[in-house]
Amino acid sequence: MKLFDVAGPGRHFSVWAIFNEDGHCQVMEKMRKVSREYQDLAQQMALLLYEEVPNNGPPEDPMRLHELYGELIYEFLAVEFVTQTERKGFRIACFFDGLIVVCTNAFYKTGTTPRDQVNLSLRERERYFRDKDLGRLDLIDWPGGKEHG
Amino acid sequence: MVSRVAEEAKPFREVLDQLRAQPGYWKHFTILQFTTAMARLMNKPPRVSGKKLAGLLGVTPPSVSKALSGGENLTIETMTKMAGALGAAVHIHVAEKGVLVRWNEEAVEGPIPEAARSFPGFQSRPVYTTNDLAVPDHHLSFRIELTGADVRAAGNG
Repeated sequence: MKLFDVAGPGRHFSVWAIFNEDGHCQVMEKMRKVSREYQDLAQQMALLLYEEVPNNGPPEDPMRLHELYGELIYEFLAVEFVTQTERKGFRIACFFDGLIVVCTNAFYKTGTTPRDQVNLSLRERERYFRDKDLGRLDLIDWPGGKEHG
Repeated sequence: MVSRVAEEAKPFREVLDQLRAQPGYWKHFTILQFTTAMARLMNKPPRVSGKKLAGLLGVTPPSVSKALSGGENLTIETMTKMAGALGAAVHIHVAEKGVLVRWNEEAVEGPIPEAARSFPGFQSRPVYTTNDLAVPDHHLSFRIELTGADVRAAGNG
């Protein structure tokens, strides 16, 4: 399994994003799309994945991180108020492996979390631990451009 | 596990770098510091629910939920009121982007804070002398020595 090292090396907590079986990193591709469509949402989510979690660990704040499926799957939350009452939600499903937060899939959310997103995250979690046991985790990064903050 | 540099990671790193370069990112950074600190306080026993906080503030629960969701650009007045309702205050620390900041809470009463102990020469004497000042010697006909007690006294004054 290939993974993108979102937070970069040398942080207190690691944040990784999974490449799916088709070879796409859906989380980061969605982040790129959201950064064009709803900049506020992308900024909030990037903050969680790049500053808050790597430095301070998963936030004890149910408005930013909460359980999605028992204690197996969690989701990061970002909210933007399009109007005074209408909100747009951006979520990233994830699970924990010690001090590593593994992000599986990202999606917009308006009502309840779509069941297929939860199932997808559960499947990716299973694939991750299977590949980990087989020593098949392949972590990639691009430290070339700017230095990590 | 293999860890390597790969060309395909470049666009993802660029997205993050672009987001970090936007002023809005750092606005949300400040809001995040506040909302997560509020969540920590609210989770401390005796736990304060969003509904209870709304009652303390005299506002509706949805408005508290909206403020704590991170989607609202909070004013200093709002943050101060919300923290105040929990018996807290908003403390601000300004530092370079990307550095790791750790707050150390200590009571005002009681032992001298660790930070004060690291004050130059705190332990006994001297703390400062006129020799430390960049003034020609012939302008100085006296020498002053301050002890830790003097520094504490000056701080309390």
